[in-house]
Amino acid sequence: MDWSRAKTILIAALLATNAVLLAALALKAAGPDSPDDGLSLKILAAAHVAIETELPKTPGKMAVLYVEPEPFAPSAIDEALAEQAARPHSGELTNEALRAEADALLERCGLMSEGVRYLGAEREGDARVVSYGNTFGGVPLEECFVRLYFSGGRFVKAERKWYDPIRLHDKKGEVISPVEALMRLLPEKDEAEPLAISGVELVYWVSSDAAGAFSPINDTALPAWKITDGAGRVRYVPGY
Amino acid sequence: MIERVKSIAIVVLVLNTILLLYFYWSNPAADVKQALSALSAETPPPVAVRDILRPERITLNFGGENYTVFDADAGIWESVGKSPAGFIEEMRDMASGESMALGVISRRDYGEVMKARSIQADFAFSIPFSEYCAEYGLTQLGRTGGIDSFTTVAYSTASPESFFVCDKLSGKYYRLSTSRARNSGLEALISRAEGLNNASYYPLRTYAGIDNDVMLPLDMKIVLPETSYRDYAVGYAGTRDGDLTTDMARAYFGESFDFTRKLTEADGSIVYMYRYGEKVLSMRDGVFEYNATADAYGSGGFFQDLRIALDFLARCGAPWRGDGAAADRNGIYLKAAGPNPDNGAYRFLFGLTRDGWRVSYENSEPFLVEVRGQRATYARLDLILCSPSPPKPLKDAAAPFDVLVANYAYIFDDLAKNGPLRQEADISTLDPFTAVMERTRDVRAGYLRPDDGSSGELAAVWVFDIDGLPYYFNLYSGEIATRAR
Repeated sequence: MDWSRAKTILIAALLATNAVLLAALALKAAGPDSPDDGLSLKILAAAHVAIETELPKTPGKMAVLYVEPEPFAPSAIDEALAEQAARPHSGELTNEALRAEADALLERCGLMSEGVRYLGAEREGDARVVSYGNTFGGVPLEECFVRLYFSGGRFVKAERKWYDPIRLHDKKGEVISPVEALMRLLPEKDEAEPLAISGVELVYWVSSDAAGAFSPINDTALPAWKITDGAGRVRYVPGY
Repeated sequence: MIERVKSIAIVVLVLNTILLLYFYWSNPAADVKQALSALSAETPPPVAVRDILRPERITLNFGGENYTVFDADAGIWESVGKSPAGFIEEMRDMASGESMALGVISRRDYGEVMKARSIQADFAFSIPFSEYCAEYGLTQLGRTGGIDSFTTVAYSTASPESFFVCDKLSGKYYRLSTSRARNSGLEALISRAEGLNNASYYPLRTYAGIDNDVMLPLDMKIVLPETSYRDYAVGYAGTRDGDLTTDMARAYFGESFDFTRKLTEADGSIVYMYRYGEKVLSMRDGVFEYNATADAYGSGGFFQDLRIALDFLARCGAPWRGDGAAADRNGIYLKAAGPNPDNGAYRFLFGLTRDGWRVSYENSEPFLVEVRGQRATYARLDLILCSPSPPKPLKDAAAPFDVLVANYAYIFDDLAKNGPLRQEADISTLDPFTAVMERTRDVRAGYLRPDDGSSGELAAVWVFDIDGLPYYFNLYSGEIATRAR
C-alpha cells in the first residue's frame, strides 16, 4: 500500500470537511438566519410589516433562567421614605446628583448588583423619575424594574417589580430567530394595517399574564424577543 | 520528513474537525445527557382497557330470589375457573354464526325474567354498545343495531335462547335472541357459583317492603385488615432518585420540560407552565392538577379516549394494576365515564382498590381525567399508596339493613340539608324511612380515607349511595364514620 498517497488523500478529505464545517459555522453566526428567513421576510413585507431596525443575530441555544422575585425587604424602602420625608425641601438636583441619590438608595436596599443597569431619568408631572432595570449575562431581564420618584430633591415614591437572577438551567434549547418571532405576530395582526417595527431585542422574560394567580417565591425567566412597534407598544414573543 | 509532517497534519486536522463539530452542535454534552435522561425515565405500561373495564357488580340469582352478589374485583370468573372476560366469551359463543333478533322489553318484564336462575353483570356507567362489540370482537352482535349504549348484560334460564342488554341509566331494556338455546356455559357458571360458600343477598324490597331492587347481604363475615397509607408523592420519593412533581412534569411535557416555566410558592406548591399556559401542571398539598388547551375538539370514541386516559395515568409512574382481584395489591377501577356537559370532553373517574376492596375518599376522588381532541386536557390526581397488611380472621360485619334502620333519620336530615331533597317543596310530607329506602342506590363494604388523614389509616366501612350522596358507617359497629357535612 502506498501510505504516502493515502495520507495525502486523507489530508485533502479532512481539509474539505473542515472547510464545509467552517462555512456552516460562519453561516450560523452571520444570521439572519436560517434559509427560511428570506421567505419569511417576504411574507412579512407582504403583510405590511416594515422592519425599521437592524435585526439582532439569533443567539443559538439558551437555557431558562431561574429568578427570585422581590428578594429585598420592602421595609428598606419604607425606612428610606420615612427618613426623606423628614428632610427639608431642596432645589432641583442635577442629573448626576439625582443618579447618585438613586444609586445610594438601591445600594441601601441591597438591590445594586453587577447586572443592574441605569435606564435614565425623566420628568413625570412635578416629579423626576429615575429608572433601573436588571440584566443577566448582558441580556435584559423583563419585566423587571425599579422606578424611584424624586420631588423637591427628596425621594417620595418607589414603583418596583424586581427579580434577582439565581442560576441558569443546565439544559439549553434553540432560540427562534427574530424573523420567526415577527412571523408569530402575524396571526393576531390585522392584515391590511401597516405595522412598523422599531425595536427587536433578546431578553429574559418573566411573563405576568398567565401567572397572575400565583405569588411565587421562585420563578423562571424564559428567553424571549421583545418587539417594539412604531407606536411604542411592546410585545414579547417566547423564544422557544 | 515529509511523511512526518503529513502524519502531524492528519492528527491536527482530525482534532480540528472534532472541535468544529463541537461548536456546530453547541453544548453537545447537555444534549446527550438530556437524551439519556429521557431514555431512563421509567414509565410503566398503561393498564389495559380489558383489565379495567370490568362490571362493578355481578348478581347471581340461584332461583327463588336466592341471590348472591360478587363485586367485580372479587374475581367471580377466576373462582369458577374462567377468565375475567367469561361473560363476553359466552356472548361471543352464543352469537357466533347466528343472526340475533332484537326486541325491546319493559323493565317489569326484565325483572320477571331475572327472578329465575340468572346472572347480571352491571357496569357503573353507560358504554357505547357498537364500540364495545367492536372492541371485544362481537361482530355479530355489533351488526344488530338499535342499541346505543348499555350498563348491564344479563342471562336468565327463563329464556335460554336470549341475552338481555339494558341501559339502566336511561331505562332501556333489550332482548337479543337466537334461534336456539346455547347458554350451557353460563348455566354451568351459575351452578358452580352456587356451590361456593356465598353470602346471601336479598333485594331491599324484601327487607323494607318498598320498590327497590338494590341488593343487601343479610349478614356477612368480612375481613378488611387495618391498612395504613401515605401520599403517593411521599411513597414515590422513597423509591426513586427524583421527586414526583419533577418526574411528572418531565413525563407530561416531554422534550419541552427543560424549557418550561417553574414557579414555587411559599406554601411549597409547585407549578410548571409550558408556553405561558398551554400546559400547566400544579402540585398543592400532594394533589396534582393538569390543564392543557385542546388543539382539536370531539371525541375519538369511548375506547380510544379511555386508552388516552390510562396512558396519561401511566406517565405519572403509577404502580397500580387494573386487575385488582389478587390480594396485597394497589389497584384502580373505572368508577364513572361520560361526557362533561360543560365542554364536551370525555370524562373518566377512576377509583382505587386495596386487596380488591374499593377505597373511598371522604370528599375527593383519586383520579379524574378529561380527554378532548385526542389528548388529556384536564386531570386531577390525589393518589395514595396503601401498605400491605397481614391477613386477619373473618369477622361479623354489622348487617347493612340494620345500619340503614338505625341511621335513616340521620341520613334523611342530611339529604334534606345537602342532598336533592333540598329541592323538595315540602319534605315534611315525606316519611323519612320510606324516603331513605327508596333512594338507596348501592351498598358495599370497603375502605374510607377520611378527610382528616392524620392517623394514616384507612377505615373499614359500609358505603351507602343514597340519592348520589355517599354515607359511611363503621363496618363492624355500624356507627357513623365521618363528621357531619
